[in-house]
Amino acid sequence: MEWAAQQGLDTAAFKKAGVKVYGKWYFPEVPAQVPLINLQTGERETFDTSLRAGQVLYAEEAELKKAGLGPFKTETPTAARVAAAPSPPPAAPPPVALAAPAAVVKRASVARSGYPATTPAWHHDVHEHAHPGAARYIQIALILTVLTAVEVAVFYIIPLESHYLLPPILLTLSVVKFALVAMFYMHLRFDSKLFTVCFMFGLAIAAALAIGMIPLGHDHLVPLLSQQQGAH
Amino acid sequence: MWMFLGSDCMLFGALITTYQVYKGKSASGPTPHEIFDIPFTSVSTFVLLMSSLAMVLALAEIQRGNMRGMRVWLTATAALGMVFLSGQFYEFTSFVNEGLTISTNLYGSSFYTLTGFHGTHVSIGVLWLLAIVAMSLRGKITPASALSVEIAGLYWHFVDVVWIVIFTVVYLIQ
Repeated sequence: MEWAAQQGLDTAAFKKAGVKVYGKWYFPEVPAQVPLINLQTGERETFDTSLRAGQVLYAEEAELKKAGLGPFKTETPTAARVAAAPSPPPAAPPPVALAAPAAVVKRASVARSGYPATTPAWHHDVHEHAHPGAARYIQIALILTVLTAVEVAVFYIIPLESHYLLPPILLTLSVVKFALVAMFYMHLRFDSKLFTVCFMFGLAIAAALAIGMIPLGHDHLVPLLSQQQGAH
Repeated sequence: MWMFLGSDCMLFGALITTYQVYKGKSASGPTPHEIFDIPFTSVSTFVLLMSSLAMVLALAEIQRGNMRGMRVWLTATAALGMVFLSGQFYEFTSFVNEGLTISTNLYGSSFYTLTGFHGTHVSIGVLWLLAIVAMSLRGKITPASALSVEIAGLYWHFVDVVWIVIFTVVYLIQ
């Protein structure tokens, strides 16, 4: 919430003012057709359909105005100037018409606060704020397919006398595949770090167990262990 | 769900470690390079990867409010999961015919325990996904309950990443 922090706003202030914050851990459903303020950038955004929020937080412009928060704090003494400017309709305009209210917000005080002079048009990247889009998922799937093909190719190409190279190469490729699925498909990259900690804790223990048991899988250590047992 | 997945990591870590420790220690019976069909298992791996793609597309659809699209992709995910399970069943059957059962040797015990646990996870995942599809048809799953689909997706993707590790450690690193 960089922009909100610059405005001196935090979640406590929003809660005190009764302003709903749309985000993964607050109100997760971002409403449609409602002018929203992106609390990270200060941009005014409106969505055609309701979305499930991710890490980027939004608040309704109308609620911020009503509570007099952020840039709207300076508007109350200058109500006449606000009334003189054409105000956008209560219902959000369609995405193409988002440019129309831009003239409304071209005010020096608002520009200084970081609230942009132009309202951005609908952009499909907004899905990146909540979740990656279908195109990104398909890209990841293609990369995973290629990596799997490379793994199988390496298995067949590397000659028998060089098979000691197989474990590091194959394990590296599988770690990359694991990371891609975990970060993008499981959304670890976009979610709270607490989830990463929970998952990585179990993974670290599993990895430590596997690494710690490696000597038991080596035959040259078995006679040594049996010798020690014979000595006792 | 993340806490559960962390604990499931430890379960599969223990099973994979056991497999690794017992690998090559069998006194008799078939060995991995004698019975594995890598091209067939590669196709199974690809099928499971594509099921993860279908799952994430299902989640994207419900987040856009497209319930029909979600049902289509969830059904595709479950179908691909069943294809994977069929492949596993065929593979196990062929291994048994070649003399490797769960009681043949150390290798058989650890292999079937590991892959059997994974197959059980996949089966539970398939039932879970089909249950969500059925609930969606009855109107009990709406765009507001996208979190339910996301949680099911986390479980499904976890099953996929476990297979990524099993395919590499068990099948390719012999």
